[in-house]
Amino acid sequence: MQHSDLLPLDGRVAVVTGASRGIGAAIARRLVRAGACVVIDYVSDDERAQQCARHIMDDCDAAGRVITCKADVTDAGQVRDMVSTTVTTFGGLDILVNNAFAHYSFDPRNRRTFDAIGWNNYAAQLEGCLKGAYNTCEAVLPQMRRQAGGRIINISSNLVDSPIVPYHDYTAAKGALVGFTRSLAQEAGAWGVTVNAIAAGLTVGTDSSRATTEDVREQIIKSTPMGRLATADDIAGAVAMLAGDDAAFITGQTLHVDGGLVMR
Amino acid sequence: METQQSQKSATLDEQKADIKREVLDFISRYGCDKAPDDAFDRLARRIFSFQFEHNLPYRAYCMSKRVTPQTLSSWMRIPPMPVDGFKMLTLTSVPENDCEAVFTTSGTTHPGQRGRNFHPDLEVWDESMIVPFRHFIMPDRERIRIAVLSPAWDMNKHSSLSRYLTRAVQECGADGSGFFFHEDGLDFTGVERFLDKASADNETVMLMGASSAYLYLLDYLDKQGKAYRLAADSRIFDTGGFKSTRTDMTVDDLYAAFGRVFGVQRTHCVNMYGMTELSSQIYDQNILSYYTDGSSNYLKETPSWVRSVFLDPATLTPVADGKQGVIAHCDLANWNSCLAILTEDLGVRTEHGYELNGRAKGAEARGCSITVDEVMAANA
Amino acid sequence: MSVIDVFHAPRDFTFSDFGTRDVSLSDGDTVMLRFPRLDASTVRALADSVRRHREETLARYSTDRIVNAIAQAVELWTDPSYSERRLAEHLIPAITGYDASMVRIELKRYMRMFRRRELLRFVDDELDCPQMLDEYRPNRSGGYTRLYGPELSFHVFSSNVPGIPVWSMTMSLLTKSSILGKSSFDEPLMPVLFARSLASVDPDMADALAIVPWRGGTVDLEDAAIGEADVVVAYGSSHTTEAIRPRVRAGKPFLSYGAKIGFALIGHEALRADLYADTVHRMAIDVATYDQQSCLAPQTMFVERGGAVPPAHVAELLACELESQQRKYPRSTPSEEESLAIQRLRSAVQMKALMLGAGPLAGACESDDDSMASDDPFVIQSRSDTDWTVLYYPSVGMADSLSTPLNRTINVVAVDHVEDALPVLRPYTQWLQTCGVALEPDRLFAVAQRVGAMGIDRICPLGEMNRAKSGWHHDGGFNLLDLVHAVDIERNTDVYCDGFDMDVE
Repeated sequence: MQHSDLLPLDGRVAVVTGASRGIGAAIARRLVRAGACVVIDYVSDDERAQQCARHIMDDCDAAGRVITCKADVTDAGQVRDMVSTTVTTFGGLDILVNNAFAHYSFDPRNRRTFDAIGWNNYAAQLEGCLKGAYNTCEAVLPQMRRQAGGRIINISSNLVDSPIVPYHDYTAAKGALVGFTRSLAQEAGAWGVTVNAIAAGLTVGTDSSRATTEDVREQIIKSTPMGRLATADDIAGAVAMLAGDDAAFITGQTLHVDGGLVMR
Repeated sequence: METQQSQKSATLDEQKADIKREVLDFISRYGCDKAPDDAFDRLARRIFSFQFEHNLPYRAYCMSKRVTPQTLSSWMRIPPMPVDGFKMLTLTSVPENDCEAVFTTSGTTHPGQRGRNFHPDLEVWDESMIVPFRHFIMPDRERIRIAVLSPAWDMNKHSSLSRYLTRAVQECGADGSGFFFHEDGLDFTGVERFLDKASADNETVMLMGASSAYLYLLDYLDKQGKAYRLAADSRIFDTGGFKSTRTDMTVDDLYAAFGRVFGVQRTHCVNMYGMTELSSQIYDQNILSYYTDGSSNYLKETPSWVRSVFLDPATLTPVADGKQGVIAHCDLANWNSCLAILTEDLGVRTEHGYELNGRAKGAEARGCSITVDEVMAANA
Repeated sequence: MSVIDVFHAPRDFTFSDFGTRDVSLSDGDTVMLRFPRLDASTVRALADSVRRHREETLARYSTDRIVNAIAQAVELWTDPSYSERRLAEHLIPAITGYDASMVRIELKRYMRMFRRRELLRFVDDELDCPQMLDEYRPNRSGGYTRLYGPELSFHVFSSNVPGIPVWSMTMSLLTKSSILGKSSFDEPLMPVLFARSLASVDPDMADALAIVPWRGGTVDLEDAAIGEADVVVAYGSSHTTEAIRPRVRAGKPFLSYGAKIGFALIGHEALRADLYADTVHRMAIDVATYDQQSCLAPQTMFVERGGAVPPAHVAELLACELESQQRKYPRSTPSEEESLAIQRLRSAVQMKALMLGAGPLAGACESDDDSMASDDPFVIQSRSDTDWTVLYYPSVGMADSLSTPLNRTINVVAVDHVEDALPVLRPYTQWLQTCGVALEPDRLFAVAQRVGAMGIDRICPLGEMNRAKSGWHHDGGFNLLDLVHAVDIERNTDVYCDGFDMDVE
């Protein structure tokens, strides 16, 4: 605990949505290692969330720096309660990572074509992804403004700039998230709040990538300069960078973390 | 619901008893020596957790500084509560109604807004008072004949100084000690008689009072044309500085007057620094040093359970020894309210103790700054 | 090590003894400032000398000639390579602690206020007939009037804003007065450099000026100067000016320019979605310029509800703008007492918020219904130091004091209508001077009527509070009229005297 005086995010407080597993959990862990206090938001599995929190605290020697919070990001009231809990537990809120989204499975073989999906599919993705980000941003911004600074990091996908497999509804929602990110960055900058997006590549070991078959994976790898797929830790590292002081003058950006598959 | 309440207060009572015991143990174990750093740190954290849990306004204050028992790295990072806070907030871990005593400040600038320090009981306060008192004021004897010039406990149950003076006489006063401040004010003739008798008996005595009290006494004695050569080892104890009285007199002037009027040399004049917001006092070391090796160390020192930190006024971070800073005290005896407080006094720490330079003087600001007092005066 | 003389005297005046002070520059070099050691008799001798020189120069010059001389001296300052200007830009930041870029920009703006066209404005604005400064001219009541300036003016200069002495020196010169100026060691340079500029244009006229620094409160020197002068002009805190006032003999004009509190009134119309960013930027400029040390600077800003951003957000935005100002023009270092005063104020407001039950959660209970939003006082402050502080009060009643310890410490008070702010200014009447406004045109004049009645004597745009324009009535007074006395040749005197003309029948 004595070491935390030197850590980059020492004293900062972060909320990571959808953090009981996958990329979210990796992000939470990475931020804790960097010295932050972290709130793990999750929607349903209490046991899994608790376990995740426990493991992170044990591995990072961070007793008391991680709590879990059950809140469905599509519900504004629950989100507000979560922010309130965060602030009254840790005294502030500096970093928000919008990672949660409505469940989606990247399944190239069983992908539904444009005619096969309806507006309700788009709406569901927008609801989970964009509305979730909207609710959390709306709830945290008053705190960040009062603190004269903050970091908002939205997890998007490199499919927006290069939909090599056209998952229409998912990609449309992520595209909206990118526009949302830029517009908010424009206004919130005056309060010292940066808003950025990370366009993640296909990430191994996540629920959504489970259905992507070996041949498609190989195809992606062949086109990736770094010669592999993203891991949850890769995404987490980029988040930690954007959350730290080195990124204080970066806002409105979409950082592609996909080994160079898409270069923007 | 009720069970939860009673469970909670049982925990509070237990915690309270534990903390008190630990503080008393600490006082008894380390006295006026320097305690080991880790022992001090441990007990400070313990008390901080206790206060963080139960003293809600203090908790909110610490939260605003992002300091919690979990994130605390050392006792030096415990957010010191500014003295103002004792006026505006109710700072107590044990509920107000369960507190036996409340000490209040005398509130000169803003009448009606007094600083309050709550004491569930005075056990620790009494102990933290008497141990350094004996050590710094009475290193050479058990008892001494004392004349008290300021109101005692019976006159003001809300004054920490009053209790202090009464306890001093109770524990260390010899026959012939007396209290000379009554409803009508300072009993000048009584004091005069005390001094006459002390002279006649050639008995070692001690005078105790607020610094301002001496101004009036000296005036009186000068008018009476009286001056004394009190017996060897007699001593004069003052505290408080010249708050609301005439300020053209300096500390050096006062001590010179003691020499002239009482025959007591500077070596035997000792100042006590205390505050309503603290539960402990801080002393000049000159009487102790005199009876230890004949030297005169006029710098101040704290007992083992009090540590003073000197902070840069701009950043409120610690300054190097030898540099002036605004003083924050960490007083483990202040186990109920806030163990760390931020004063408005400036001081410098050196190898042999520290020097108190008093309140930051209202030096002339460069620009067009107008004080609240000026506005009030203009509209009076 | 280079030596800079921080004094100016007539060419034929010799001082016998000098003292020096070292100043460290940002590049590591040291410069020695040289000044004469004075006693009361030297001061009197100086007064005598400048008065004598005035007889031969200023007293005989026309206003036009004086205007042209000053204008020429000022024009030199519009050239970035002018040696005196470069010296000022180099040394003043080191002496005062103000940021070098800020000094450079403010100084060149300020000096331009004394260009010929502005000097004419000063003169024409106040005097129907400026030639009355030179000779008897017809007046409105049928006679003739001439305006006589003092033979000698004693000026006590302050140090809070570099360049201010140029103003009073110029006004005195226009009234054909010789000048004995006492500068502060905290900024002894500008009045001397200006005198030197004048000397390079008209060395004879410059012999009617003497500028010397001495420690404020040196009673014998001040009494000597006050005794010699016909007019005394003093800048400084109330402490300074009030210490001088009783020593000026009754009947002698004493003009004092003391501490003031500035205010700003920001209407909701300035917080339109497309305007609020610029409005906040202007607020920050007013707070940061010369670190709020000028008497023109604001200490409290009243912000109206009903704009696209609520007053609490304006306070938050202002905090971020002040951070930007800190990056651009780092604040000078205040004294320990000033730092402590800022800390005390910060914690007092924090305590107040805690007392009202505010927790760490900002904008708690923000729901669709705005009235539910909790609106507590709050403080936003610079991260590690006392570099800047914003104190927000949700209502006028919550602020214990409208004045701050300066050094970029600003109160932001939310009001439903800016007019609500006006009664609150009453206790500060004697210190009121400038009011910066951001209001739509119809409101401007209505508000001006009311603030004028309260004691404000300068209404200006938000963002320009620290830049008074030429011709303004400083503290509600007159620039020239307060320095001169009028002599009238009564109506009919000339006609009566015509009777003594042999040729008149």
